[in-house]
Amino acid sequence: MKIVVVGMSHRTAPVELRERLAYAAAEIKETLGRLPALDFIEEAALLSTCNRIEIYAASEKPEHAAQAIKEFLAKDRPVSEDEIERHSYLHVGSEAVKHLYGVSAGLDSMVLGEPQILGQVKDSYRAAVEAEATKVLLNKLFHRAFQAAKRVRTETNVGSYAVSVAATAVELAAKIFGELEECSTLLVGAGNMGELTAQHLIGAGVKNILVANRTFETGSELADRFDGEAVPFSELSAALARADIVIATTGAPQPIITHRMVNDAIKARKHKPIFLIDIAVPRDVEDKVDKLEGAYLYDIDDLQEITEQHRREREREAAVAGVIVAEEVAKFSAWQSTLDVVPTIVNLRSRFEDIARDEIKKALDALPEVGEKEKEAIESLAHNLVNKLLHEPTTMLKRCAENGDGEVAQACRVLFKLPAEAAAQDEAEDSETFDDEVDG
Amino acid sequence: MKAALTLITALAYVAACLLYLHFFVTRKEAAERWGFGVLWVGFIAHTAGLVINYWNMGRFPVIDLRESLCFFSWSMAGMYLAVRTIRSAAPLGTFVLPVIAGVFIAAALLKKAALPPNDMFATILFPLHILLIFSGYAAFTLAFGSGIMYLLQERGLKSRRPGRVLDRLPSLSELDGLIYLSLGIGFPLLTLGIITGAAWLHNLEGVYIKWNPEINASMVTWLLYAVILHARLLAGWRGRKMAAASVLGFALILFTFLGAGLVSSGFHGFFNYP
Repeated sequence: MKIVVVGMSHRTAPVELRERLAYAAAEIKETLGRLPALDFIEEAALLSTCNRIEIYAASEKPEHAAQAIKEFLAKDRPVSEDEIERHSYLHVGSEAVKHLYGVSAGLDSMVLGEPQILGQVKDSYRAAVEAEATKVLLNKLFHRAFQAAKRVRTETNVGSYAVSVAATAVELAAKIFGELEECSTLLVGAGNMGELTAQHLIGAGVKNILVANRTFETGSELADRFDGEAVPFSELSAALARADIVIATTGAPQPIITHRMVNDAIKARKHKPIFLIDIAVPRDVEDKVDKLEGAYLYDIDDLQEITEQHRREREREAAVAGVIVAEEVAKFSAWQSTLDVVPTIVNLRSRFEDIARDEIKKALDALPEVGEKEKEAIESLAHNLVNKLLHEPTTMLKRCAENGDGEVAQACRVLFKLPAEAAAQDEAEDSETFDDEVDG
Repeated sequence: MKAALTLITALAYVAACLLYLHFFVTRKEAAERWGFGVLWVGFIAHTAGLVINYWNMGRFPVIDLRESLCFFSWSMAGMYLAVRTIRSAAPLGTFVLPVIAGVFIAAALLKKAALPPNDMFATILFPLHILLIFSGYAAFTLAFGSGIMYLLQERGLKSRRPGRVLDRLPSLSELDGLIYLSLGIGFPLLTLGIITGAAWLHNLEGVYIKWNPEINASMVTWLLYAVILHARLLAGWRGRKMAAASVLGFALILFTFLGAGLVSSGFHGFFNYP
């Protein structure tokens, strides 16, 4: 049995195509009900986010399964088979495992290392479990994928560098002020970039927002949106004294926040530091403000440069994450190989137990006058013998399978005259439970 | 027993030092928690060692250089544990623990001076004076560590290209708070230490003050910290100036403690006594 994934992501398919393919959360369960009914597909899971749509399946014939999935999508969604063929990717076996691990850890995301995707993968898996579309192989696969993602998150910094200008500004503010709950933020101008940065700051805990805009009405609209306060543009100096963080985004041709204004503000603030984020071009804050003690001035170039550094940092961390993923894939492959040997082990055990049962019966028939105690002793003797005799061969069978040596299992089947493969498959599937390892 | 305690203390301080370094580099909170625990172990062993010393010698064990250094590292460890308990001062440990471990080991390696018993040290005022002065110094050491971190963080932020190392340092406002807290603890202790010292001197020689290098330097130190705190309270001095001043103040303490102690004669000298 092999794992197959057919998918289209932001890397291979345009957004317009992804839109047509996307499944709403409510549709997923119903769709998953139909998937395992297809030929060649034993188990299935469906991941649909705005950046990717992927179908995972377990199949004895991966190529056929992939074809069935593509045909299914072409019938189910308003896309042609040709479009799917051109924009999709197909991974089989350990490549498919590696793909899901990478996706879960955010390594395949548009913003490298972003954490939301893991939640989306978990949701998809939950839907698949609820639709009873997964069994032993995909259950294990997803559990292990969550573990791999967790390892990547805790052992690397791939998700810990701010990679947008706004997030970088928040990070810097935190370096100056620590907790941002008590910080006031002054927005000078009503530009989009400023609004976005203010939103990030609010997300980080900032409560008090002031807006100073040349057109007071526009300023007040913006202030209302943030539950803040609009101040007249003419009172900018006074507003500066009240602000810990200043975001300047006006379209003014000349600097509007001067050295003198900031100097006065710092004095009025009793030398509490002030953080000026100048994202306007041309710049809004005089350059020499930087010389003032307690004033920290960052312009758009500074922020972009830092953000770029962070992006490179994430890429470096992604390489480390790749090693972790490879390790985890190897573990999964080892486990999967032992799965192949499970039917042999099950058959072997039942053969031995049959013999034991027959022999116990014979022995008891020959000794009609034995009491309960003796009877129990004879039974436990037989069972212990079976267990002890089988312990070593079972371990060895698993170990050989892990190392990719299938001949030993074959030899075992011949030696003990076990029935042909697949007979014990169902029992093997029952041995795995779903929910034990899902965290969160 | 004594040797075993010294060994435990030294090992614990070095281990705590390494754990704090590990915490600083990897940002693993667990390492800091372990470091904090191990520091407690060292501190308890250290305290036990001091108590045994007191018992054996029948006097407060802070007279020669070796004993003074040993006691100084004990005060710093205690002060850090206290401040860490009330504040999230974790990265400060990375800066202060090497000082604690280094001073303790230096003390352990120094030769023991054979001092005859002397009535001069028999009064309660002597241990009180020492305890207060050294606790004050310990608090100023924390202010020094926080000051260094502040200067590093501030320089990084001013450069507009803060490197990733600075991520591991607390924010400017936290550091400013730590400096203020440490100075606020240290200054009253130093003041009381000087007062008890004067009272002790009065008991001993009938005067409250005597001009020896150590006392002179102490007075300068006291004045400096008085000016810093005054400026903070009245003129709103904060940030870089406070940080720089607390670093300077610490340099003065080192001078007072080591420099003056080495050239001093009488009770403040490490070698001239008695």
